[in-house]
Amino acid sequence: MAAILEMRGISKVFPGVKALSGVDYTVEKGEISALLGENGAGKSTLIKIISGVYAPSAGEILLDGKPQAINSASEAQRLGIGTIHQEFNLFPNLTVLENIAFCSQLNSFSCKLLRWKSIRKKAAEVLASMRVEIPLDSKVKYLTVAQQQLVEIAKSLMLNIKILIMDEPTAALTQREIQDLFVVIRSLRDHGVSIIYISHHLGEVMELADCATILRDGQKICAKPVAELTEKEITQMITGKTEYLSTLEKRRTAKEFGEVRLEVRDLALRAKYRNIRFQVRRGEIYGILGPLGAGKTEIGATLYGVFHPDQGEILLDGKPVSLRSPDSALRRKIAYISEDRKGTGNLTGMSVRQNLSISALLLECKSGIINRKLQGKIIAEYIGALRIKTPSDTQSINFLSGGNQQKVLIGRSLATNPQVLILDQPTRGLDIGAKDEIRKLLSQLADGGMSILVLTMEAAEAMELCDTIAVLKEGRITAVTTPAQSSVQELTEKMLSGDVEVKQ
Amino acid sequence: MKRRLSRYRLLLIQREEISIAITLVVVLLVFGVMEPSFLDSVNLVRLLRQACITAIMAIGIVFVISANGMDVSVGAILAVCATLSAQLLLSGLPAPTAILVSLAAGAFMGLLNGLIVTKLGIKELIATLATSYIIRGLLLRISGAKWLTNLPRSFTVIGQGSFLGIPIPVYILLAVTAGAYLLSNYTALGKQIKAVGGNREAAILSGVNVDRIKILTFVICGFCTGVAGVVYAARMGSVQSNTGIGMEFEVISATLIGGASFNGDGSPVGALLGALLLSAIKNGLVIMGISPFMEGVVTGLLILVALAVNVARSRMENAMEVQDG
Repeated sequence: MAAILEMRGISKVFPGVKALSGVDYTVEKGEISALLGENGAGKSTLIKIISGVYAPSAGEILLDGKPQAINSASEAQRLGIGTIHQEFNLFPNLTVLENIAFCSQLNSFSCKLLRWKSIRKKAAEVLASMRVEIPLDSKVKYLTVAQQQLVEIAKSLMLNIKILIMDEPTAALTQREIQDLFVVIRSLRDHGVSIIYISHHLGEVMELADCATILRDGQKICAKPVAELTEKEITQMITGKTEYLSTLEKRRTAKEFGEVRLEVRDLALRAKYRNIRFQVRRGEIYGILGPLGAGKTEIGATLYGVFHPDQGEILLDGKPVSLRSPDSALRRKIAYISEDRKGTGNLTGMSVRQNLSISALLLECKSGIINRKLQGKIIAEYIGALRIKTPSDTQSINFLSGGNQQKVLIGRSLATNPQVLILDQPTRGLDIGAKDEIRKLLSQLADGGMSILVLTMEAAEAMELCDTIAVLKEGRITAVTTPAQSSVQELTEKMLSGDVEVKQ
Repeated sequence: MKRRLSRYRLLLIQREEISIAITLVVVLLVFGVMEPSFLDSVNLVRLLRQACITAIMAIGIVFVISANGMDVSVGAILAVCATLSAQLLLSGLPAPTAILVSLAAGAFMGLLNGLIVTKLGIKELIATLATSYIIRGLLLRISGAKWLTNLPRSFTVIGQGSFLGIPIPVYILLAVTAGAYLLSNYTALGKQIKAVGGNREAAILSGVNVDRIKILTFVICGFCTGVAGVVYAARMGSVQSNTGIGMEFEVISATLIGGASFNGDGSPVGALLGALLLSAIKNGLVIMGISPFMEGVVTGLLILVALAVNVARSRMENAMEVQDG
């Protein structure tokens, strides 16, 4: 096999930070190359250099053995390098067809009339080769997240790509959709396309990738065929820690629980969920596990007063309550942390200080004037207690790593002194180290008597975090179990049996 | 049967032009029933003639708006183009030359707007507000706020003449619509304009030169306004310095009613229908003898209804997703 991409001694320096130092990275023709590392290890920087977004400070890039400068995203595309970003790059107002064809047919500055017939034919072929059915004339904003992901892939397949970079492509997919995706990826590889696959899920990497390159602190730690590595070795190299506990070993050991704090009786919301019934006791971490679209987020949002149930009761400490708005939920000491950190969680562009203190300040503030003293207290307390890594409290939250952003959000909720904390996918997109810290933090909070409700679609996350796990399928709780009585495998099966297909 | 119905519903939800076309037909029928002379061919021709200038400008500005931009200088650009064509004719230049120069001037002012927005990085609304003052101020200074009258017949025929019983401005409007439709639906540029409005970041990452596309939308808008300016001068036969004051609001209203939003939605056909609807209501109110002051009230209500329909549409979208879920 010949190296299609060879990077030699790549360094990238940002003001004040050396993101990459002297990294060598080689991708062979027709292989799936996993790129691994914690957030901040330099993966994104390396990817951005390959895809022409950044220019390296030092080092050279060879494509097919020839030195090649990649000066822009469009040049990378021309050279056959396609990227599927973690945040979708789709146009919600354009149709599926227009999105799929965009990068291959629609991005030249030209007045030539388009031949929609042949473009449509090609797009239909690509979708057929992926064995998926998405209506070509539907606007992308009407699609589900999983369908949008497929459109992203179809879009890059339309280009004559030699190297396809996929950044966390499975983050929003269900198990079944992931398996379908792997089929597509493998067939791409068999057609000679090289794939650079970035993922935090080592299981996926072990299953899919041919070789793995591990980065840590901007340096290459290892590049080896996956067959020669174990999951444990990889984890050690990623974190740089030799001590690392496996999922089962680090599982939370449940203590005694107190009285029931939150109870839900026969809750129903139109097409979203029905007959929801559970209790969360003091000191308990209760998990609701279900695939995408099962209704987890809606249950969480109902308990935070965003949605109003059509039927059923919510009881706090045995008394029925009506939650009309997030404000009324906060006043009853229920806090909620969204799954979508960028979209609905962070106040993007605002400082750590403002992000941390806003909920508590709004709760306290009756006159409309910011209580600076309280704000100072919150900042001093939580940045330290949660070990939020930030140069200062005036730093914009955009510059924090995912794990630290999540901590800021947790801190924001904690500052309101909640008794019930609802977290939707608390470790989504976080690296192993950050996941571990969040897990410990939640465990501590529960031990302190807080009732915690975790909504998740990853069986492993439920196993690691929760004391009790309810499996939610198509809006109904189908099983309740504990980590001790179950396994990741069993939970996954329970969650996915009879899973709904992606269809329009 | 069930599939059929849902397909029609999908069409209704996804093609904003259809709901506005239905509204237009309903409005025409309502006026027609209440006042039969409304549907006279004479009145309909008059209505079309009135609608032309707004419609041509609306088709231009819909490109700016669907790229998530705004241009409030179109009233001023209209005044310049109308004045310029009149002035050139009065100084003895032949009509075709005067027209071409005016169109070029419209496109050039659009280019300036585009350059200010992209190269200086000033928000569209503010940039074009500023240029609108500058353009109008310079116009008054240079033209001396004189009335320009007695335009030659070889020119005014463009605005006042008819061919096969249909006013010539309607043919011009049809040509502009056809060109805009092709650009919007059958060229890469048209799709890029919507892409910039729909997801700017993604457009950049997909290799779209966003600045160039933004500039292009302003040039298209300026050019169409130039066309409208020439038609305006030819229809009136004279040009006053206060031409087109407040025109920008009517034009923007027409595009919003025609389904444009600042998220990359909007189409030339929608803008055309929006302009026709506005004109029909104006004309209908006059014919029915309702106070012309009510016109503003109706226009405002119509904008609110159009936007409320958009909101309702996105709610229906969400409902659809649940069913597919």
